[in-house]
Amino acid sequence: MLKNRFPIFTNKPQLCFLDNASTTQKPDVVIDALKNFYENGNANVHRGLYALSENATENYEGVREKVRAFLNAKESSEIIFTHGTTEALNLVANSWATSNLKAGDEILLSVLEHHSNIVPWQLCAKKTGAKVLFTPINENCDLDYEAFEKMLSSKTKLVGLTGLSNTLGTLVNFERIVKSARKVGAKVLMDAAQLVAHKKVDVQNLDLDFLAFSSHKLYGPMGAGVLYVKAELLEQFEPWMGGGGMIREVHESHSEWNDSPWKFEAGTPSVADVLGLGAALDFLNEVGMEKLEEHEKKLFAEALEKLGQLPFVKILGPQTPENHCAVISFTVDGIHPHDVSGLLGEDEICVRAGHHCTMPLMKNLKVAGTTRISLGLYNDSEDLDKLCTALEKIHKRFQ
Amino acid sequence: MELYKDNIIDLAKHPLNKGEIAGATHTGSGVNVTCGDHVRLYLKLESDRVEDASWQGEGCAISTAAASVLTEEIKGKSLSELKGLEKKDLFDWLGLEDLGPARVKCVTLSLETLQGCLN
Repeated sequence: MLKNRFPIFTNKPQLCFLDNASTTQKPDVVIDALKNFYENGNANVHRGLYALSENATENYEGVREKVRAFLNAKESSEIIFTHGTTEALNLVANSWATSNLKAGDEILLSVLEHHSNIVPWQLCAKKTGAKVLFTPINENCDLDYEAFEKMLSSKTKLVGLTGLSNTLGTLVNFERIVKSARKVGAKVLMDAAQLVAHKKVDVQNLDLDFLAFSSHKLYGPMGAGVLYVKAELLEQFEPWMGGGGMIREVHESHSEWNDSPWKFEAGTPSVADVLGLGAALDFLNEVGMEKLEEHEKKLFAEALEKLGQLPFVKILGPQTPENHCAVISFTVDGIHPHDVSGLLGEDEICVRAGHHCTMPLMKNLKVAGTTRISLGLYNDSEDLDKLCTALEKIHKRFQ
Repeated sequence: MELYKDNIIDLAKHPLNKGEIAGATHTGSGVNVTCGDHVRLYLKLESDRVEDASWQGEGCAISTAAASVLTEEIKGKSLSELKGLEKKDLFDWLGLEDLGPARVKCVTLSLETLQGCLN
């Protein structure tokens, strides 16, 4: 679907790119937006009193509105631009958490989490004395919701979970999570780095407090990311980073902050990358998230079926498309995941191998690593056939 | 450059010197934290010369092949020859040129482990 809109596939016709959970390829309009900014629009935002700078500011703020619409947030001031998901999560851990957590409080995560949604909380726990807890998964590699509910208590101040596991493709039921978390008054954060590229996410409908994602996993450029913060929370915490742009007045004795969201955007932002993200969102609107979901759902079922037919392949995690999308982790009998990935790479088939930045999950699954494919909107049956043929060849070579 | 040459795959399928040797005078362990590969080396030195060498562990084809050729090639070498071994020697024995940053550690793990157990 739409491979012809992604110049890399024209330039590298043999490329079979199945590592979309790591980063996605960029459509023509995103590349054009970057080029156009540097060729025709380059100026800093919120500073110059000349047309070039004013236009840059207008376009940059225009993307904030596009992101608001994409997430169905209530106000565009709830959208903070960062340099990626990692920075967005660190912002919550350093700003909201240090202003609102104390010793004895609990932060409830899960073993499905990416290191980016673990390590900032461990650092935060060191500073605040709060405790980090991990919800287990059940035998189907779904989140153990009953265990989650038992772990919740009045001590739980934040629930931070991935929307979609980057390693197993497990979907997390946030309707249920938010409902349970509200009973104990905990705030809820979604690491949506993976999910937003595959499903429509509505922050109001889900009643989320925080949501983080990266542009580059959503067909946009590297270097831009988003943190959504529910409006009523925005004034409840101090900024994390200080610098230009985030202040109203600076005195020798003290400073006064700018309004939200700008008070959380210290320094020159990645303007071109944010504009590229805007172009990616336009592109997704043009494609239609429903159409994307439908295409990926079909392809995902096909991938599970085709890999399932290879007797030497063992799929980890959910074996059916229910509560599961876009990502499949597997092992190949007798062959190290790095060799599978390295040999596929020699055939221009790009997959990821290793622990996928989820070492606690690997320990739970009792494996050192897996080979992982992750789908994007441009993948097709031909990519899957190429993968399976190459896997058969690799298996034969090692026999 | 093709990394997975037939000699590497053959060594991965049929590793050399795998197992523990009795009466080892030097042992050492090494781990590649990023990929989980681990190796334990066993050396039996007599009059400062390698009488026997072996290894145990788990890893990818490249690290298995590297541990195999290293333990094979050092047999009969003197202690000072062992200390003089370089990355390039191992690459030559494997028939490889230098590797990219992602895979070079697969080759050097056993060499670094050897250097560690001699010190």
